[in-house]
Amino acid sequence: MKTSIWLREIRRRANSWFIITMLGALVIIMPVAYVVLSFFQPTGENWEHIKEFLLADYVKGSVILVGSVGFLSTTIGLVLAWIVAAYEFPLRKQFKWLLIIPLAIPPYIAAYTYSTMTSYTGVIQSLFRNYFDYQFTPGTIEIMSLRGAVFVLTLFLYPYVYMIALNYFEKQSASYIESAKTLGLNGFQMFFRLGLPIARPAIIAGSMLVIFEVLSDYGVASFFGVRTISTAIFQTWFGMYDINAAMRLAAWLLVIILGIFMLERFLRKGRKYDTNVTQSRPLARKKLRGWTAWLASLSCSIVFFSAFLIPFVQLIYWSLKTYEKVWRADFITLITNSLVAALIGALIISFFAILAARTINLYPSASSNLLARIMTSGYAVPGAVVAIGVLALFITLDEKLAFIYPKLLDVESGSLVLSMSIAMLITGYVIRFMAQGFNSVESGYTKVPPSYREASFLLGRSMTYTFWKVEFPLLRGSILIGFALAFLEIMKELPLTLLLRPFNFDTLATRTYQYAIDERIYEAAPSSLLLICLSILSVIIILRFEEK
Amino acid sequence: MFVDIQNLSFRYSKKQQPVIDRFSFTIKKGEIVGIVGASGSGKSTLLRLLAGLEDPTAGSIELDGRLIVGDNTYIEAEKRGVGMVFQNYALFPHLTVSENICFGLHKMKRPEKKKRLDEMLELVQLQEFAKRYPHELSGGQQQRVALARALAPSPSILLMDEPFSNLDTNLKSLIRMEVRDILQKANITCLFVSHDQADVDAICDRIIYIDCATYIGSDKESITV
Ligand SMILES: Nc1ncnc2c1ncn2[C@@H]1O[C@H](COP(=O)(O)OP(=O)(O)O)[C@@H](O)[C@H]1O
Ligand SMILES: [Mg+2]
Repeated sequence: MKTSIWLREIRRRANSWFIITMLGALVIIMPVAYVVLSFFQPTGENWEHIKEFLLADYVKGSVILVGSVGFLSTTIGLVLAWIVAAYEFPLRKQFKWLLIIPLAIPPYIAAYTYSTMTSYTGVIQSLFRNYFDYQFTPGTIEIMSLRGAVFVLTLFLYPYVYMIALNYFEKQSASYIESAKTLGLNGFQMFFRLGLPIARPAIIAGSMLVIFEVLSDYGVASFFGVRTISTAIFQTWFGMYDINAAMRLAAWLLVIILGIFMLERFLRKGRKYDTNVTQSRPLARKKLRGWTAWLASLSCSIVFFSAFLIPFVQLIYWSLKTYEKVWRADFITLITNSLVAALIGALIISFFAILAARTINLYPSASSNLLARIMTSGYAVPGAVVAIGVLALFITLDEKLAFIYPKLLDVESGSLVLSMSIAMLITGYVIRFMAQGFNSVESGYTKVPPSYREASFLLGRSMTYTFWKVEFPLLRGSILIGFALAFLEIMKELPLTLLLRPFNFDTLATRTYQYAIDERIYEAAPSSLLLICLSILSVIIILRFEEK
Repeated sequence: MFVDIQNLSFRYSKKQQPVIDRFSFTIKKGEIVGIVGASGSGKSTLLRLLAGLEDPTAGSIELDGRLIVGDNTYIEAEKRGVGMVFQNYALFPHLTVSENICFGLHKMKRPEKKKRLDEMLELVQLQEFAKRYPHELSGGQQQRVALARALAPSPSILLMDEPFSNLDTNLKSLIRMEVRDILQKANITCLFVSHDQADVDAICDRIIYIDCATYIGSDKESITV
C-alpha cells in the first residue's frame, strides 16, 4: 500500500471518538501495569518478613476460601437455575427473580448480621433457651471464623452463577432437553448427563465471577478473621504503611489470577459446543406434582429466606431499635456521598463503555478485541489491587505535577492534590467496574447491525448525529442495565472505598463496616438497610429491562 | 463520464486475496447498470467502495466530475451524496415510515421537507402507511420505504444491493416492475447488483458480469428497457 493511502487511513480513523476510547483504555490499564511493574522494584525488610512468615498463610487462606466458596455457590446456583428452568412448580415465576435479590446484600453486612444472630445472645440461641429450654453446645451453630466466611460468601455470591446458568438453560438448551426427554431420561439423569455438560461454559463463567469476588473480598474475611491476600494488603498498608510491600502482595495476587485464567482456558479447551443453536422458543417445562413440587418450592424458599429475608428482617428490627440514636445530621452526608460517588462512577463507566463498545463495533479487528479485553480486565482485579495501583499512580502524578499546583490552585508547594481528592476514588471504581457497563452495552450492540449506521452516513448524517438518533435509542435498555449494574457494585464496594476515599469521606458502606468492626452491630443496621434498599432498586431496574 | 472508476483494488485483510483487483468501469448519467456475479464475487464490496463504507487499497473513483477517492483524497460516506438500498433494507426500527424517509432531509426547511416526504410517499405508493413502523410492513413495502428513503435527498447515484433477495418468489416479478417504474419516474443514475440474471434483465439498461473480483466484461449484453 502506498504511504499516502496509509496516511489517509490514519487521518480517517483518528477521530475524537477513537482517541477518547484509547485514553479510557490507557487509564484502565495503567494502574494494573503499575502493580505488575512493582516486581522489578526493590523491597524493604517488611516484605522479607511477610514472605518468610506470613505469605504461605495468606495464600492458604485465599485458596481454601476460593475453593470452598467457588464449589458451593456454583453448586447452589446451578441446581437452582436448573430447577427454575426445567420444571414447573408453585411460585416458580416469583422465585425466578427473587433468587437474584440476594445480590443486593453486601456480604460483609450479611457477615455481621449472621454472626450476631447466631451468637450466644443472638436471636436464635435466645429463642431456644427461653422457649424450648435448650442450650446449644458452644460452637455448634455460631457462624464465625473460616466456616462463617464460607457460609456467608456462598449464600451471597451464588446469584452470579444462578443468573448466567439460568439464562443459558433458558436460551440454549431447549432442543437438547427436548430430545433427551424423548430418549426417556429421568430428572436426575437429565441434570447430570445433560444439564451439567451443556451448561459447562455458563458454569465456568459463573464460577469465575464468584472466584474473583472472593479474591476481592475484604469485609467478610476480615470480620471473621480469615487471613487472605486481600486482607494482607490492607494490613501492610494500614498497619505497616508500606505501600511497596502491599504492592508486591498485589502483584502476587495478580499472578494467582493469571493462573486461574489459564485454568479456565484449559477447562474450556476442546469442548466447543455449537452455541449457534440458539432457541428462541422457550423450553417446555415439566410440571412437578405432589411432594416433588413442594420440594422444589421448599429448596427455593430456604435459599431465599437465608440469603435475603432472614437477614433483611433482622436488620429492620435492629434499625427500629437504633435509628433514633444513629440518625444524626451526618447520616444525610453518608447517603449523598454514596449516591454521588456511585452516580458519577456509573456515569463515567457508561460513557466509556459506550465509546469502547462502539469503537469495537465500528472497527472490528484483532486490536479492538484486545481493547475489549483491556476494558473488561478490571472485574478480575481485586479491589485492593486496583486501589494500590491507582494510589501509586496518583502519588506519582502528584509528584510530577507538584510544580504547577501552586500556580493553579491555592495550595502550598509540595502538597498532594490529586491523591487527596475524590477523583482517585472514582478512578478506582471506574477501573474495577467498567466490565459491568461494557459487557452490557456490547451485548446491546447485537441489536444494532452495522448497516443502520451505514445507512445513516449515506443519508448525509454525521457520526455523532447517527449515534444519538439511531444507535442510542436502540441501546437505551442495555445502557441502563449496565449503568444500574455498575451503580449497584459501586454502592456495595468496600475495600476500594476504604483504601481510596479522601480523608473524612464516609459512605454508607464504610460507615456500616466501621460500626461492625467496632462491634456496634445494632447501630450498623440503619445504614446497612439503606444501602440494601438502594441496591434493591438497581436490581429491580436491571430485572425490568432485561425482560425486554 | 458520470461515474469513473479506475484501477480499483481492495481486500478485507492483508492475509486475504484481493476481493477487487484493478477494476475499472464507467457509467453514463441516467443509466441503470446491472452487475451480475455469483455470490461472493465482490458485488457488495464494490458498492460499499463506491458508497464510502470501505476504503480501497488503490485506485480512484470520480463521481459527477468530482474526485471522491484518490491517493490523497477520501470523501466520507456522508458527504458523497450517494444513495443506497441495503440488502436487508436497514430501516430504522424505532422510526416510522415518514421519519425514516425524512432522515436524510436535514438540509431542508420544514415545509420543503413535508413536500418532499409527500412526493416520496406518492412515488412508492405508501401514503396510508406513513405512520407505521417498519415491522408493521410487508417485505415488499419495507423495500419501497428503503427506496424512498434513499431517493429522498436526491442522491447523484443510487446503489441497490440485491434488493429482491429477501422477497417471496411469487412477489418478485411484480415488485421488479414496481421498482423499474419508480426508478424511471425518479430519473436517476443507478447501479444495481444481483446474482439473479432475471432481476437485471427486468430493470437494467446495461449489464456487467464480474467473477471473483476480476472483471470479466461489460456490454456483453445490452438490454434497453
Ligand atoms: N467484512 C468482511 N471481512 C472479510 N471478508 C469479507 C467481508 N465481507 C465480504 N468478505 C469476502 O469478500 C468476498 C466478496 O464478498 P461480497 O462483496 O459480499 O460478495 P457478493 O456481494 O458478491 O456476494 C467474499 O469472499 C467474502 O467472503
Ligand atoms: Mg452481497
